Amino acid sequence: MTKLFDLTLTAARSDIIVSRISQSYLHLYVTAMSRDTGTGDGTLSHCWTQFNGDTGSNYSIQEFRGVLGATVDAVELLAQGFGIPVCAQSISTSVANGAGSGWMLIPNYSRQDYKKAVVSQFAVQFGTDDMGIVLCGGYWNNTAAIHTIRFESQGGAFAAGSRICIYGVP
Amino acid sequence: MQKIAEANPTGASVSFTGIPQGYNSLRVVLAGRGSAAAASTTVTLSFNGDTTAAHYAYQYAYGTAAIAGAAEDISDPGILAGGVTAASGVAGDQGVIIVDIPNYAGTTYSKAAIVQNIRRETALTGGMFTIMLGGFWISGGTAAINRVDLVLASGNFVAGTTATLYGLP
Repeated sequence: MTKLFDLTLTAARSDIIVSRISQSYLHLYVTAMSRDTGTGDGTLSHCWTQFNGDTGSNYSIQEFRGVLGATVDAVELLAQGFGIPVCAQSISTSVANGAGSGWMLIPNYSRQDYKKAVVSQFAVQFGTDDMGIVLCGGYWNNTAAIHTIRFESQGGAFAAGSRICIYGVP
Repeated sequence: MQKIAEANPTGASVSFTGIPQGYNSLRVVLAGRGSAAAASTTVTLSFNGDTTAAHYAYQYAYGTAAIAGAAEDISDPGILAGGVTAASGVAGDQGVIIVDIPNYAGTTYSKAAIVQNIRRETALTGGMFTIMLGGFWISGGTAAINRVDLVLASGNFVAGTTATLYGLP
């Protein structure tokens, strides 16, 4: 695995755009550890990814979650323009110094055989005794090779200290 | 993570044989589609060519739409590794299967696999599946794993499917 991108924010920022991603690997592996300066949906904020500048309603996701202790549930978002989450983030009202951490695998990102299917898994801390763990499957309805990834913080901005890494997988 | 082997299967299965024993863990990434006349088709995982009935057990949990569920099978000839989109699934879609096999070369404990799978059968509500599975080679003793097979329940893999075996040092 080869590290292609590594950014730790020194100041809050609403999005991070990584372009001209090398097309020389088979898969991309993304890691994120981040916190939102805003309030998100009141509990958490997603760190969304969008591909190649596509902000249209071309993304669908299915999450399978364990949250807030004993709750197990599932959520789908069809044909939406947010994107696919690499992690859920702690927000301004979350526990101090809390953050969300996650990884994402984008198989065959540089090939054009099939629409892109993405797997991500992440954990997030809301409060001192409130946590969440999520496995997410996401689809981008496009067969294009991925050359640009935009990371967007759902609730406001990525807080300073948030970190995004991208690796090329041979 | 180092690539050990890469395959572009077009038959009913993909096999990684003669796996070197010099790593700590194995990871398999399969991304692709099947030809079966169905919206999706399942994929079964086995080790060292052992497909004997009742030699494997697995537990899985899944989410689809707003439904979360779980199930087990304690007597099976392989480990369910989820499935891939098939002929009548969403056009152009693929399924993804990630398999991790910790301590595959060890000879102290029986072997287990951790699997994550996503696939989409329709673009409508309830058409996507996100699944996590834990599988156990319950009759494999403590044998080191030197072969991994992924076999479709029906049909063949479609061109464009990739399966890659990695070693984690």
